[in-house]
Amino acid sequence: MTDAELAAQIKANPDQGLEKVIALYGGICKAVLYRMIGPSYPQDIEECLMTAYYKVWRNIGQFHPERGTLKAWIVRIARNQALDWLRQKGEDPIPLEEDILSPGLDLNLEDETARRINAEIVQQAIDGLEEPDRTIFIRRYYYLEKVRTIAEYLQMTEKSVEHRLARGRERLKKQLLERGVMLP
Amino acid sequence: MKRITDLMNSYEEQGAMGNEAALSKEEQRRVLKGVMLRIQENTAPVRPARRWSKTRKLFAVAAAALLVTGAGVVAAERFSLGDSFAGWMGSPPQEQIEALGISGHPLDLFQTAQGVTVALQGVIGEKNTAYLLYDVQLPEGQEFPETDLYLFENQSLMPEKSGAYGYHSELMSKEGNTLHFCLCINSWKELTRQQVVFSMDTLKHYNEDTDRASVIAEGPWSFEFPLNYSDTSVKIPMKKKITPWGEDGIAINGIQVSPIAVHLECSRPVSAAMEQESLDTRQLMDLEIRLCFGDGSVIDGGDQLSSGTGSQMLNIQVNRSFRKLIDLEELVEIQIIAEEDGENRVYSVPVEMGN
Repeated sequence: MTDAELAAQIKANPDQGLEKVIALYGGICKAVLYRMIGPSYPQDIEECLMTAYYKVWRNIGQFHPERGTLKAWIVRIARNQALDWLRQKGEDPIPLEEDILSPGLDLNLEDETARRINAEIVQQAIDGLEEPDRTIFIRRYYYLEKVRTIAEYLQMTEKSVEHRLARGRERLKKQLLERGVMLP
Repeated sequence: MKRITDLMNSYEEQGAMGNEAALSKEEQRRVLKGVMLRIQENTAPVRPARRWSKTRKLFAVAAAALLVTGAGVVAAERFSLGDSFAGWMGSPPQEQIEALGISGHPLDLFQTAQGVTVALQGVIGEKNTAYLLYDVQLPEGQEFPETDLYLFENQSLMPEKSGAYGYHSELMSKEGNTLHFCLCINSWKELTRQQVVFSMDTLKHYNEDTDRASVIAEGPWSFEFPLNYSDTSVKIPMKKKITPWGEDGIAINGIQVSPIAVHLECSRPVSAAMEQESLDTRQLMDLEIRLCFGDGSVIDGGDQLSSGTGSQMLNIQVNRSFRKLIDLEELVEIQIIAEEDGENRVYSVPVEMGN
């Protein structure tokens, strides 16, 4: 079944359509939620998973196969659900000064074309990072893991992880400035 | 400034973190059940648009009918909204309350059945939203129960030209032997000058401890009256249409605001209307409207009293009323917050009331 067919089934017959996408992508969504929310909140993780799939049903009209896969779209919704959970809890796992790419640099994400171009640049810039820098960047900014946790996992010093993160941020910023669609 | 964590939302993770195990069959079943439950809870009918407020204290159950023993009509020049309404709306400045009272319309209609009087004080409103203030009074010396959970059997309000509409009552306050209620109406069609019929049957008190309802007063009560208030809503000029869900989705073409409500005029392309009528209106139900004022204060979703969404062919209307009065002179910006792919996006419409 193609993504477009799955989306159509979620619209026409939510029970059956959702059953399929939960079976297909429930595991990866739960893994993302687990990594972001942490092992101490199993009930909240399941609640977030249910809410994320409810949003899949509600927003399925916004899914366009030509813009990406259904899997990526659903995982994105799950990740946003985890972000919402963290922010509601008052937990901001990444300090603002580290999270802001560059003061004064803003991205034009209002326009659909600009959003797509910038999304491609983000994808390419991160996928272009050498290992283990790429893994470190994803663990830190996608899954919001602590620097110490990443360092322990990769058996590195925290300083080394921070250095590699700074390098990744610089690369991303450079590519967005050179090729991205920016606000003045 | 965009945060990297938000920027990473557009990143498509390729599973570099290892293989994620599929959910067990039991987990899948549980998640699906939870999702379907959420869908049922959030699937409000589009026609009529009807949403209950969080603090609802009045609801209808079964049917009953009894005697109406008296009725009367008294005209008045000015409509006093009173302390109950002011307190219920968070005690806004006196001049705001007075201004609403002037644009409102006094009713002073009452009916008494078996010693219990239902009195309609008046209506205030605008193009698509109206508040009906009414009291229920027990005979002298009698008192209402201590807890405030009341229900009328078969309460209804019917405009003559309704289109999509919805309503709910809320208890504003209790003073001795009198309950002060406000009924909030949202409508697709213009309410101003319409004739409406307001009726209800037996008033009961619900006891949460025993899970039983006991009769307080037996109706029915029924009133017919016009919504003869002055509509003070104004249209906010928009330089461009807003398209929260992309060019293929719904466009917001106009905003109308009054001291009690905000009204969005929306439209959708023909293709979208053919394909996803119900989905689009569902998204609109969750659209949040935030009003920003010159002094830095805001009225947002947390202050929302009611919401309604109605659709007809390519046109959609979204109404939001709030438990705070909107000071039009101080309003500087209206923000429309739409959820896209699970992420909130804010669309701003500057307001210059002076122009």
